[in-house]
Amino acid sequence: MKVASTNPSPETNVLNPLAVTTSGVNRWVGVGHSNNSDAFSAGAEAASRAITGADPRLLIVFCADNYDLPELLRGINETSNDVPLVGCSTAGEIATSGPGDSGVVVTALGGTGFSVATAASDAVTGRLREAGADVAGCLDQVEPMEHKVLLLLTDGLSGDQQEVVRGAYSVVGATVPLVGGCAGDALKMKKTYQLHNHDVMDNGIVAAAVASDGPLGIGVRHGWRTVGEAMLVTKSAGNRVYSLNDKPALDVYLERLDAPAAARTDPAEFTRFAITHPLGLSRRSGEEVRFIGEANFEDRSLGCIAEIPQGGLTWIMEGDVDSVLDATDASCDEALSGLEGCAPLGLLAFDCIARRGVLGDEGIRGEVARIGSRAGGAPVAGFYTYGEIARTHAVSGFHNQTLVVLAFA
Amino acid sequence: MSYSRSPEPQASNSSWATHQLGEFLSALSHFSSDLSAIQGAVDLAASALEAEIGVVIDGDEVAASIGFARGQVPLASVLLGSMAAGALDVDGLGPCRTISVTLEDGRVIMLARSGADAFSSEEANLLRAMTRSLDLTVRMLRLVGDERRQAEEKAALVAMLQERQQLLEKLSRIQQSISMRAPLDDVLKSIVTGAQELLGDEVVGLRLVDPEDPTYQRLVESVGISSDLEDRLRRNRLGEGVGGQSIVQDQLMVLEDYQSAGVALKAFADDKLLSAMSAPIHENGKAIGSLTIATYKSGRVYTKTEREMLIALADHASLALIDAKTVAAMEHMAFHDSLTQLPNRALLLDRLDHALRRMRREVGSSVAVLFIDLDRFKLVNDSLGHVTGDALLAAVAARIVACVRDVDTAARLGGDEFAILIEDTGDTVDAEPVVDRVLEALSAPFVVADHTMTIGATIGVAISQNGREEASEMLRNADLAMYRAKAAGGSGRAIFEPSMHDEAVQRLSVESDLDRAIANEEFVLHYQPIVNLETEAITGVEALVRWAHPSKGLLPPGDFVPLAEETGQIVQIGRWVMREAVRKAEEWQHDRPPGQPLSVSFNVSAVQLQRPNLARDLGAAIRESGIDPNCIVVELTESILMLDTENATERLREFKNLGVRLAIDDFGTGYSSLGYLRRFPFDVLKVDRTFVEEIGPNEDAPALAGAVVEIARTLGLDTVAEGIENEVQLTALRKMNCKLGQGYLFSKPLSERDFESLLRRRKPPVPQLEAAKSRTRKPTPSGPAVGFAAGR
Repeated sequence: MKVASTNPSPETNVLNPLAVTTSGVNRWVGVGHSNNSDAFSAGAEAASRAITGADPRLLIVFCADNYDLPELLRGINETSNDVPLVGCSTAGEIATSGPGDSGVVVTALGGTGFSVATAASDAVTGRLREAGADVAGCLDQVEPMEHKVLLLLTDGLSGDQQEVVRGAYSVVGATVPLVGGCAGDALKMKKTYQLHNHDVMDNGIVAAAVASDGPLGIGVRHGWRTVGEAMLVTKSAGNRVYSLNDKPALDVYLERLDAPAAARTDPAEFTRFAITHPLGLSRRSGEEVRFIGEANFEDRSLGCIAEIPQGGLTWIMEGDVDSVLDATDASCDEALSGLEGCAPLGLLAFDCIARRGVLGDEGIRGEVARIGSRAGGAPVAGFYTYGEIARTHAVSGFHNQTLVVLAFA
Repeated sequence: MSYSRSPEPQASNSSWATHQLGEFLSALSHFSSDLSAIQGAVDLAASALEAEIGVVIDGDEVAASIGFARGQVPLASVLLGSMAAGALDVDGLGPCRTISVTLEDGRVIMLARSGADAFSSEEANLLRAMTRSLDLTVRMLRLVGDERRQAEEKAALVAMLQERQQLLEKLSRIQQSISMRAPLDDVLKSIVTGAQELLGDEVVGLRLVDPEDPTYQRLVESVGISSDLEDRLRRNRLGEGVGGQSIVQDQLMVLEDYQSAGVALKAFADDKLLSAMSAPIHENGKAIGSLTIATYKSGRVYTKTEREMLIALADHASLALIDAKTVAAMEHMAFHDSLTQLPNRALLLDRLDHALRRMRREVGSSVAVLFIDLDRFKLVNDSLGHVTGDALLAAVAARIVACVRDVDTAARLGGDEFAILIEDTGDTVDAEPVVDRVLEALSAPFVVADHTMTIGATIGVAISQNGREEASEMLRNADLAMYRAKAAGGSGRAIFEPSMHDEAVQRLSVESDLDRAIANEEFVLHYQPIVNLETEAITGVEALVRWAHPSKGLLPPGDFVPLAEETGQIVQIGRWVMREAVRKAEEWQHDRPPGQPLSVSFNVSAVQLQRPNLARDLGAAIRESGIDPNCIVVELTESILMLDTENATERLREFKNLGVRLAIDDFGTGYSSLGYLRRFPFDVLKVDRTFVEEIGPNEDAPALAGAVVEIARTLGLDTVAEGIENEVQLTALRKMNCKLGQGYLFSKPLSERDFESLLRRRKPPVPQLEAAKSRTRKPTPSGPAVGFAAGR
């Protein structure tokens, strides 16, 4: 594990006269975006656009997985003068200007009103809980300010991500919320990347503990509903579901949904189809959604991004453009309502790739515009994820098919 | 930082708890050590119950916990203290509710959940069932550990593990059948056969206390009992046999020597049963049944593990029974009103639909629907609070039910609306007697929470002609008829006629017209002078609202005020009237001689009086205009005071504090009692026109009017007689010493301009002249009233 804590750098490199801090508030949030195909230039451009005030404390980087990532980080770090950095690859980036692919979006938090510490852990498969607990330890290093959050960016392909949340929870406890998402690889489902300062990992977890003297708000919504009869999970192990109602899980799933022929034989087609047809679990406060990432056509099992417990019931869920957009509004409103009446300085959105699947490329432009209008002019950044993290109440905090919004004031 | 829980737990999701137990049991079978099982169980339990905090306390140590930041776990003593109090305060998380269970080895599991949501009994049951299974797992894991240490007997170890796996799988399957909503019989059957397979005894019986006669118990499910024996054992007195004792004593009963036990059932003893064990089944903490295993084989010894297994199985039976009841309750809830337990709208429509189908099918059947709306319920609810309102609704429901036959359906549609479906065998349905009974029943006073109140009801009736109507259409027709009856003054009835549809459309259009009228201020005030009956000098004026409708012309209050009161639009109209009347009153004071101000009165409706800002608005209008508040008279109808409530008194006091005067309108026509007059701070009593009308040429003793004036004088109130139309009435009122009056004899209500010109013409003479004039006045119709009566 590597840990870095911020030292407010006395010499700030870029000063933007427009980034005025209002009286008594010494916090700012900036978002920069670049589509430059040259990794170094893209990093440098996005970072310089993001750093809009004095004393930057943390950079959060969301980028396409096909960049030369060490070069991209070099471009950012040379521009920022090594401001602590966390980030990950995506299945699409979100910036104030709209959604996009093959680009990089940098968010900067700055000012003495923020205190930040970061940590990372690599090669986490098989020890997710331990790794989650390790990186969460960076929370001890932030200044004791009233509002805190732990940001987690993880490798969703590494196993049950609820384990990461459990590990982090065991360290930070119930009073500090956890927020974040699983890195993406443009839906290839092969390898995702996590970024920490100068390092690039492909099976890692990065964390940033953020303390703020202004309120933080978190919104979580999914917008999916159950359809049809419940199915009994008769055999599962971790993220794999082998049988439903004592029949091969894949067959039950395809049959119930009357899946198109292509999805029955082609793994890529299956993933595309399954994205908009997740499974739901019955929970005390409603249904929890489980994203199906892939199917094994040999043993007829389904692979999910989080655990589907054996012995429980599950439903097939569906969503449509309206329900997904309603959830967008509700998630933003929930996050903003946590700001205790203060205006937002910026929003971070962790938006499930499945929601993108429902909305389509045109729809996500509308969605990001909606988030922007709810933000009332404050900058917006985020990415399309393979799973979202938001633990605000109870123990569970790993979600699928949701939009998690973190608002800074 | 604040985060809201979302979405809120839903009633429709109430079976989530049983779903969770299946997952829990599956997960439990995978733990391989005592501590990992307990830690895992706490994690899973916290997750299932959506608790932030989970703790295992072992003696005075915290053995495991989640939800506290590293290094900030409170001491066991602190946690035990908050557990006893049922609440835990976690810094930064706020107050949490707690729930706890004790494992058989004395360790305590506590969960704490932030927010006001208390743990439900369903959640307590779930946690209890989880704990019972955890106890078994922990015991077996320990045994495995002991075995491992004492002897490396691999086979025994494997067998032990298999036994545990087998039990958990069995429990999990039972749980799953509960989750999947298998019929209760099937679930109980699977528990009974599961007990037989797991514990190896040939005889298993599940008994429940007889719901119809709780001094008996019934054998509801069994295996291994011959059919003739089963007949003899089907129903026994409560407490008989080991199963009966387990219910009565509410504990596990073990009879390893059945033959010599005092409580043995004779039928079983005769059959040579040798050993038996029974565990109680619970509902809401009370033993309501038992699960018994028994054997004919000799030498049976029930081990501790076997005892626990039986208890775990009995607990599952408890859960299955509770779940079945929950489902039944939910079904009841879906079709019944929870407050009155009457069928709801959905069930009424369903029964109506069936009745209409039958009518189409069978000659000689007929259907009617009564739509009942309470007349003054809103007043009760607003002034006495919804708790009293709810109690009143329950009382109303009981009276309605008492008015109908068993075959009829009385339903609550929502709010203060009820309905009755009447089916008859004749060609025509005779709804009239039912309507009579209901109206009579609901017009009698109700006594609820120490308040006596009279509410009354209005009923609309729809009678099916041929059974071809839709159920919803019938109900809508009855509703429309009810509206018609309401518009006619309420406390009555109307039978639906097709023309009422048009009226309903009309009504909707008036409502939206009114919205526009309020926005455009399309109202004008007309003014009716109030005169000194001796001198006929104008001393005051009553402001009356008119609607200057752009296409229909000037509309009187009767055309729109009742609707506006119903829709609440009267509040905005009333506010305008108040401001306008105060503004004009101030203007007119300038031309008045000193010491003779012109009083201006206006009406305030019951709906307005319910709004808290009324006095504040009037105060603001008075301050803005600068008028002497003593010139303002607020008129209230006595029905407002029907409910002697602190609320009404409070509002009237607020008016008095402004310095305005209060008049009671329509006194003596409804529910008034002298008590009201004493209790409320009135200054003026208006004698209703119905009393004045009684005064005819041959009426020597207009008793009522005289009595009202006398009452007022006794209480020191001014009197204003309304509706004076002729000299006979005027003379009589003068004789009664009624001071003031208004009516067509003096003037109809006038437009602002006409009233001002009248005021100029009738400028009050100086006081000494006024007295002289009064003496010279001749009582001729065309005399002094000419100016007033113009255009009458």
